[in-house]
Amino acid sequence: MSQEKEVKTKGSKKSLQTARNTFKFIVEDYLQGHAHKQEGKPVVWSCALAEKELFYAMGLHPYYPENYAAVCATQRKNRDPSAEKEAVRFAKIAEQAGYSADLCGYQRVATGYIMNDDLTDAPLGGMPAPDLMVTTSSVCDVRLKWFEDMAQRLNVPLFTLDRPERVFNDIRRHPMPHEVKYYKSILEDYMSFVTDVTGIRYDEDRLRECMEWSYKTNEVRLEILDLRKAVPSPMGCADGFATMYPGMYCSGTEKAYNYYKELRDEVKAKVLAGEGIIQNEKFRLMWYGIPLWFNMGIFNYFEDIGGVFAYEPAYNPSPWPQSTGDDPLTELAIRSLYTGTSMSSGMSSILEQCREYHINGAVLAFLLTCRPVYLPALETKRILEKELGIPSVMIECDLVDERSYSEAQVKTRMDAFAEQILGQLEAKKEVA
Amino acid sequence: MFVAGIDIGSAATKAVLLNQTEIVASHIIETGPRSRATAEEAMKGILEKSGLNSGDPGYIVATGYGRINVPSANEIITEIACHAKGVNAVFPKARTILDMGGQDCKAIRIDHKGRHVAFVMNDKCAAGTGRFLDIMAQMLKVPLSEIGPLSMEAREDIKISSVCGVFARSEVARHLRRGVSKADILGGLHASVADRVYGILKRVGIEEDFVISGGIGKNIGVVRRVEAKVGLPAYISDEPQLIGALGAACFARERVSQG
Repeated sequence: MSQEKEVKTKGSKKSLQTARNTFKFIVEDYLQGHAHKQEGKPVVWSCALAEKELFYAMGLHPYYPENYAAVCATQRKNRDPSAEKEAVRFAKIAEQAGYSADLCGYQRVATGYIMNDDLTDAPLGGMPAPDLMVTTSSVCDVRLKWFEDMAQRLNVPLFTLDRPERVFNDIRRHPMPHEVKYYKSILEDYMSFVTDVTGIRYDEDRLRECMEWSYKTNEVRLEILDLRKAVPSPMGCADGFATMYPGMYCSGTEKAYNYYKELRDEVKAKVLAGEGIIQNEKFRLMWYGIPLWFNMGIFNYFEDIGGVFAYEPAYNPSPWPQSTGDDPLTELAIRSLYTGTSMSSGMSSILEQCREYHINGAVLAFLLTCRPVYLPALETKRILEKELGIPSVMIECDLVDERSYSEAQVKTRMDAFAEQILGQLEAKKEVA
Repeated sequence: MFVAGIDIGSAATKAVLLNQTEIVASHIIETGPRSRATAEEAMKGILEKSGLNSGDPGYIVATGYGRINVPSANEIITEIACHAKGVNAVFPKARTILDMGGQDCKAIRIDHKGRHVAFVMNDKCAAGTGRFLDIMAQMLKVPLSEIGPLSMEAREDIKISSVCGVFARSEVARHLRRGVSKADILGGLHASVADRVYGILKRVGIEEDFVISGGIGKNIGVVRRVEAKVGLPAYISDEPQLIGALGAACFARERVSQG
């Protein structure tokens, strides 16, 4: 590498206009939620993988502490460049109360935010106080006790969507009747719980309508993923992560569907024009895991030497089973149970995606504070090299706490990794 | 034409001057607080030893953590690539490298041309690095150059359970209070370093020939214990600390010959 580049904690340079507009979408969503609360309507705090239609169908405006922690990782108080990031400020409050710095950054930031006593003393005016909380048992174990802790601190009722973990290793992908029956009973309990807390009654037609929006949204998101396989890459990880909010957190709404239609049209136009993120694309990378929200600029790091981050498995949709025509709660239960959580099914998807997206190397977020990402990262590294000869490099860090980030180490690893991939491409040319 | 490589590490700065065929001069100094001044001093060292002028090296490659602060460098290349290149120049059959430096430790697999094909580095913890042994040597009041030989006199390697440099100090203090010999304590400390670096080597995959580079390559206590774990003899150059700078100089020579 002939030129030295700085790795700084900074925002990413996005290539798509829709991606650049996403923060506005998020701000509007937050403002709508504040207005909703002021009208005396209920607010729920929840997390990824909880079925978002459950909130919209019951007239709840959802907020997501984990996503809010990611927002805090990008913001400084009063936009003062000398101030520490808001995520660090809140994490320190939690740590001063005894929460270990080894815990999940999302948890520390959200807990510190609550302990700060003034929920409005935070980016975007904060999250409105919740009337209830809903967590899920799926994938992440921290969220069970974390939400219990937050609910106790804020003295609000909590419901846990106890979804069976389905480690099916590619066998028995379709859920068994007893699994569906169980998870449907949990969803029914959830509906009763919300009615008890808010007085709002379950409306089957309203849930069906929300689910129709999510199915349509999922289809458009899948179309976008398909378009992203094009060479040169029309939409990289900087755009991918920037545009995940509507799909992850507003699924079941018309506005999320409209957002992705616009995004799809923009990506499609780029593919038709043969236009990539950069000119002269030489190698394509996958980012495994959750991004370092405080340093999204890392996705542009290799662009001046022809490297693009073309694909990220996190937050992307997978195909859903066909609608069964059952009642919406049964259908929702089947859909939720359809996605497996085993490492081996995750690995086989990643291998397939690396082939489809023409990946030359992978950067793995080795998030020491996030077990669901950390543990599969090791296996991902091993299997990529063994099955596809794809090299990878690990970046050790937390998701939102930039104090865990070592610039000198990351810089050396990233540069050496680029040298390795370019060397590998050169060796292939020699053989050819 | 003369070319130079300079490797600014966290503990030491190394410079190598090459002509078309061999090393003309080399120089090793402590890395000072200012990388730029350290780089200039190291360059001055090789020029004085060789009787050349500052304008004589036709191409300079900088590497190491301080690589961005070498004003005279024509190019910057990572220490991983430079160690791979330097080892290839000295041991062409080498395929696995363990580079143990002042503040980090890397396992590198290379191909026949000295290109790295895989690498693993230690995490942010100082255990398993030169700095760890440096701190322990100071605590035991044994000169750094003597800790390796003394560790070989250990009757048993006392178990040091903590991998944290700070907590390991507490353990060492406890062993000293209990009258355990310095040799046995050093045996344990060296064994704990060997354990750590072996883990990194396993992750990158070990293929023959196996080379140790970096300053710790001079520490017989670590080298012997790593060899025992790996089950292979380690090839070590006369000046293992210079390997990174040599690799940088080899890159410089390649660039010149490519025009």
